Amino acid sequence: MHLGDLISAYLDSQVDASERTLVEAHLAGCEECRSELAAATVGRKRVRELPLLEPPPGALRPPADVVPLRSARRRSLVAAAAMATLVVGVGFSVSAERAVPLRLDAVVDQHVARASVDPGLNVLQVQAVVNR
Amino acid sequence: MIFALTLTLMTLLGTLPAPDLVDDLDDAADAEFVGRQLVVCWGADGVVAHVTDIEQSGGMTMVTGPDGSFVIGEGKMIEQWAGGVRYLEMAPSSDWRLWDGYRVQEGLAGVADPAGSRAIEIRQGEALRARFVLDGATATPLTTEIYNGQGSLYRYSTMLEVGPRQGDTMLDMDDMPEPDHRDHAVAEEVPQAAGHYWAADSYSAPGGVQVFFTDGLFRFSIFEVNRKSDGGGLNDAPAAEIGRHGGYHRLYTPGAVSVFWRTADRAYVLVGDLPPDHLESVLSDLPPPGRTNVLKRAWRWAFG
Amino acid sequence: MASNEAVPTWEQVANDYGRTIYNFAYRLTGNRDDASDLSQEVLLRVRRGLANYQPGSFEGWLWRITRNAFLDEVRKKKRRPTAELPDEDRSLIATTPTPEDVLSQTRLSSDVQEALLALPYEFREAVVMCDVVGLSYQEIAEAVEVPVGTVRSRIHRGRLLLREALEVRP
Repeated sequence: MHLGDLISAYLDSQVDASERTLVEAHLAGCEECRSELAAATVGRKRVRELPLLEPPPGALRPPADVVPLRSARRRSLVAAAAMATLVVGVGFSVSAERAVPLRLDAVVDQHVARASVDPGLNVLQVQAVVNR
Repeated sequence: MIFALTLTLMTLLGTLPAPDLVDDLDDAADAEFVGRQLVVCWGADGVVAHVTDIEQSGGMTMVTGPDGSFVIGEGKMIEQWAGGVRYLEMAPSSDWRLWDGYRVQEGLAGVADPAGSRAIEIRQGEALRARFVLDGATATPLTTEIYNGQGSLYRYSTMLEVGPRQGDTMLDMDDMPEPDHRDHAVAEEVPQAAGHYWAADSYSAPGGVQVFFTDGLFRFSIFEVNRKSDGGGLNDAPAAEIGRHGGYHRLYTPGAVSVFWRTADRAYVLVGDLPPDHLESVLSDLPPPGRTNVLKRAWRWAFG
Repeated sequence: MASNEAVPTWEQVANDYGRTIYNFAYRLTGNRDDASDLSQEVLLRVRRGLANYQPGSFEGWLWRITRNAFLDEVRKKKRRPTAELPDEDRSLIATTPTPEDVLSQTRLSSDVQEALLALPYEFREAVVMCDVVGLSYQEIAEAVEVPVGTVRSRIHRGRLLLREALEVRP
């Protein structure tokens, strides 16, 4: 079973909560659907990045006085995400000795922490720690 | 007519002010928003992608995954999960700058971008390497595009849904434990430059030393560790030949690439967001994969 | 514009939707003159239709008019014995290009426009309504008078076809 056109509906946020869960669960385990997601993403992106053109003068001949044109592009706003419950536990200190086994999650954390010092898009940097 | 068009284009681009990248990036980091972000990466082994809930406030960015949340910003990395909190803070020892091989230009926003959105393009020579679209009013990063050396998309991210934050403070710093810091340290065999990237600072890390490289746009870290290390499991990642050498293990996740390899004397982990052609040139300037020299080992064992 | 609001005036429609209507028409036809003709025709029909418009789903109504106007124009042009629709927008070269025209050419949006025009009409229309106009699937379904599932399928297949056509430069 593959996702098919549910993929585009998902990209356009035209799915309900249960469909969204289904899509995300399936994508995690299906290479073919991920490729199809990537292809649909590009097809969607290329059209959405087309420039907004100004109509040439006279293209929208009004019946009365000339009125200025404004963009009608709408944006759907999402409600605020629920805040994750903060649980404070015991922090742990990490030995810096070379004998300590390397943990990939700790390595990525340290890279991302340092990277966040410099000007950059944290929305991209932070993605490195998810799924690490 | 093509000449006339080109001339018009040059004049047009010449009259558009070159964006100040630092200002734009700082504005983007200060934007307050909440949303869902899709990230897709076209790795050598196939496409990887995920969607995350993402929120940004007070200069910090939070991503919520199934097991917990991660907050980064201003040198801090805070991970919260059911079992506790991990809080790491890094202090830089060098200033940021942008490699002079990059040119920053104002691009055109797309028809689907909100009115007033800005597109910032970063070129390496003639090739577009990165494009960021920021919301005009809030500087919220809406889409990002990273291109490989052949003009194809390497990584793409877009907000599937985005809007202003409502409600409480995103993160209560008063509840945080004291952060872990990292001392500065020196690696034994990592050079100060690789590809066109430079080493900005280096720190002690669990298991070895971290050397942080940047070119102002992309960044990666090299971790120099004990040769016996399994790279935190990266030893099991797909084997890859990169440049002239085999013996690497490489893993793509939507946000970063990780590479692990062993040289004669030690092991290395590279983690970063640099595109494949940069990765190849960087690795060609680092110690390549190699077998430990049996005679060298015997010598060391005999003479310490 | 949400349903259950007061009926908009013609000026409000031209103000708020004029540019989008033009861009919709341009992306469907690839031709500036045809897009201009079409936009004028749409606004004319909107003005006539507003008198009888019952508040409901305004977007659906507006884009149904727009689409019908487009299809009527296409049928009209097919019946004309001489002038044929150019398959690329030569009008961009014949007239003074606007800044958007010039920049759009260098960003290879002409490739995308070509690929759009190569799509079967129903796919092109669905993709343009979704990604250029910004309609929801429900609004597109009302405008085109097909089920939402059909809209979803046309959009997805349209995107995959576009991607294939743009294979060399993703």
